[in-house]
Amino acid sequence: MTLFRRHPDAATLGQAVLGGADPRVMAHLRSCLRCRRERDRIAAFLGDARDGVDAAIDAAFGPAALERQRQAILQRITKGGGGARLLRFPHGSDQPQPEPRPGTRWLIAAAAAGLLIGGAAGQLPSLLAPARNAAPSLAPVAALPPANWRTDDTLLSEVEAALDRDTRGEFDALDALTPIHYETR
Amino acid sequence: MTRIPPYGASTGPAPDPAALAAEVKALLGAGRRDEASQCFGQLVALCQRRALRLAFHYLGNAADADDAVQDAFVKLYAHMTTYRPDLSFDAWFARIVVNTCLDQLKARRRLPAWSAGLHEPAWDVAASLPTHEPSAERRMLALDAWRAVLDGVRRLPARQREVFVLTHLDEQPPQAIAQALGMSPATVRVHLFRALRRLRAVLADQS
Repeated sequence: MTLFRRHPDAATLGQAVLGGADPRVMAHLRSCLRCRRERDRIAAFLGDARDGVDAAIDAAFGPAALERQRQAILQRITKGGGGARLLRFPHGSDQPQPEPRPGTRWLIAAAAAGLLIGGAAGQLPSLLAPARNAAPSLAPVAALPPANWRTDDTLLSEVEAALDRDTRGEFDALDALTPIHYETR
Repeated sequence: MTRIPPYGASTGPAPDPAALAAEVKALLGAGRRDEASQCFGQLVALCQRRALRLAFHYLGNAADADDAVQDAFVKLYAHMTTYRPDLSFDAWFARIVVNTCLDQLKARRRLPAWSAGLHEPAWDVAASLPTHEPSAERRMLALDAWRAVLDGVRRLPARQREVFVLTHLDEQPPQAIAQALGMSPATVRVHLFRALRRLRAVLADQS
């Protein structure tokens, strides 16, 4: 009699090979020749896979390579290397930076404060005299008098004087040619 | 205080890894570093192939496996003073190797695409095997089986992969794996079953 209605699948048989199988499976295997054969086939396959790793190791690591690896390990531990190898970024020092002492901290803080105060003091005159740095005014610049301004002034005076005179002989010929309003009516 | 005899004075049978680890720890505790490193060299020789088997299976590449095994042994030495002889040395060591391999896989994922070819699996290992030997065909079949299993294992979630590799390759019992991975033996069995379910096709195809 078998406790399993169906035959166990490859996963269950694989577990029987590697250990940790259900006791019911083991009981089934004792009574079922077909499943035993299948289990043996899986066991052989997994054994072959293990042998495959060993063959690959044999091909890649001969006795000399194994000894070289052992020596490399011993060299690393005797050099005092504790952890695994690290590829450091190729910049800066490998040594850890020392923690600044309290006195050093005060010096750094005083230097930073001095820098700030100096900067502010440098800006102070310009803050107190804003007009000096103000933008140029847009008010029109007063025009300078032309160099011949006195000549023009004289001319205007002469025109006024000419207009103030009662008779103007220069215009008599022109006046004679001009028709008079009441004569044309 | 226990007196530690000079290293190499014993003429008995070759010690097992756990005994060697305990001796290294004692020598380091006594400040006898030269003897400790000498003793550790013997431990390396004992566990080297096992570590390579795990690393090769995880990384699929001889150069990476070499790096990972070296790193794992250096880590082991660095933490040797914390070794507890009441716990399984094999499980502890397997965990160190597996974690080192996982770190390397993470680092590999961070590499730019152009360098991916440098880490191709060494499938051509099969080609380098001598073919004139009578056992050559057998070894080729074994490599094919490994390739099929590895191909499936790579698709497993991390925990299932760890449990499967430690069970299958390292041949550890569920209790030792549970100790190594910090889980209960029942959880180990569940992860193993789930891994085998995912590998079912690989296992069933080999007829």
